[in-house]
Amino acid sequence: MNLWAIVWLALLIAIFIGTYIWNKKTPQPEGCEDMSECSGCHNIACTHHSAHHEEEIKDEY
Amino acid sequence: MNKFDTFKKGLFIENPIFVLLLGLCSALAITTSLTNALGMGMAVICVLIMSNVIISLLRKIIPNEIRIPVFIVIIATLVKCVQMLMNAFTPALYESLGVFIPLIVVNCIILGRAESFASKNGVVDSLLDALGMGLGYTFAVLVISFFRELIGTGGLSLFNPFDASQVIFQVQLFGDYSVSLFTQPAGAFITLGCILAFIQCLKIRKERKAKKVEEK
Amino acid sequence: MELVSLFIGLTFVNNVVLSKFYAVCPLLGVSKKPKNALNMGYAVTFVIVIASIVTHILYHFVLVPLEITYLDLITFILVIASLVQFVEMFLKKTSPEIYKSMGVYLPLITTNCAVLGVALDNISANYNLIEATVAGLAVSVGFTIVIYLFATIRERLEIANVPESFKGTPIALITAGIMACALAGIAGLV
Repeated sequence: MNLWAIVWLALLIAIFIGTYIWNKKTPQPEGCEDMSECSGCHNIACTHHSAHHEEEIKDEY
Repeated sequence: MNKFDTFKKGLFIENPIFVLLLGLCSALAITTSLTNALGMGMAVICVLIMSNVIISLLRKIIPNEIRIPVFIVIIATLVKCVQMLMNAFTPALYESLGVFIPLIVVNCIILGRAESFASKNGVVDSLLDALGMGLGYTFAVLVISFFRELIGTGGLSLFNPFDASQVIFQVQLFGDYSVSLFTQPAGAFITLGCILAFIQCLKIRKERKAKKVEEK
Repeated sequence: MELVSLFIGLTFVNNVVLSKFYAVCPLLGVSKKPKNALNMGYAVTFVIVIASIVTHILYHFVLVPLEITYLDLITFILVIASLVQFVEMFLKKTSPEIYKSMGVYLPLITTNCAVLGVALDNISANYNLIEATVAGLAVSVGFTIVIYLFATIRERLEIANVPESFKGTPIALITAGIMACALAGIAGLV
């Protein structure tokens, strides 16, 4: 069993979780709180979240 | 919501490709033949069930702030295992699906279901939801590839995924009038557009009927 | 000269969206305003170019020497996700104006098939570092062009006289199909 695989995986996961929490902790600059036209855009989970479409429709009319 | 509804909604009402419009990258790319579509559907069902069950089992242990990174790691590991298994047991399918097996990782269906369902519900519910969504995906991809293969090559064929030389069925309906545009990328877009238009037509008719009944 | 033909090939002929189906979800999901589409394109370009370089270096200098190439998928997706988080945090801290225009789309890029697809394709095509960078740039320029054109066409489709069952996504998909036909016509260029 290759030990380097476990070391490399642990390193990558640590870096990812580190940058994720670091990003969450930094607040958005002022003026940027409400500028996004959709609430679903900040969700990393999906580009085609249904929240996008609702906000867009509200925005168009 | 009872158990059977959880399973059934993934098939038609919230079909991941036709209604939720998730995971279109792979749906358009691999639907050139029924064999590819069936193979990809099987892979997605495997990954979806395993990821939903594992995330549902671990949902109380994972800290809430690092949910998304943990999901991504779990799903990536599962997809790599599935990819290696497919390389070993279904080599012809592995060749033809190519890079779209690893791309199951960023397929919105899996991460979306994990985020919105498996992290909040029990194991049995998550299993049923995964099975429903996976079967819905497979059904949708089979429908798209049915039309593409029929109009594009004039016939239908299905090979055994585990043994590429074994033919399950192969019919040649019309060779001279096939429109080979449909085996090309452009045909994929047009086929999916027409199928979605058909579904939207059915939805509009249902709404009109409901309005008429209301007015009476 | 090969680099130029590689660039043109990936931007137009084998356009990543219309011929390889990599970034179809953002194509249909991102706003119908051309300005926002262009901002999405900039964000994607930035991430894809850096991701191509970083994944190439990591694959050839870490995974291959240590003989853990079976970890390539997990490595790439974790690197891309970390990169996106890092870029967003960096923009938040240093440049609010840029964050205002394109930072909104950064979280969506993690699940964009194009980034992971380009990284995997570079490995399987055995490009060296320069070719991988050019490939990344070509893919993102192609994506930006297509998404911008698509946004302008969708703007006009909103007010066009479309049959009722086709309104919305179906007509958008058929438009994408026609655009793909147009690109297939120049297939003999490179």
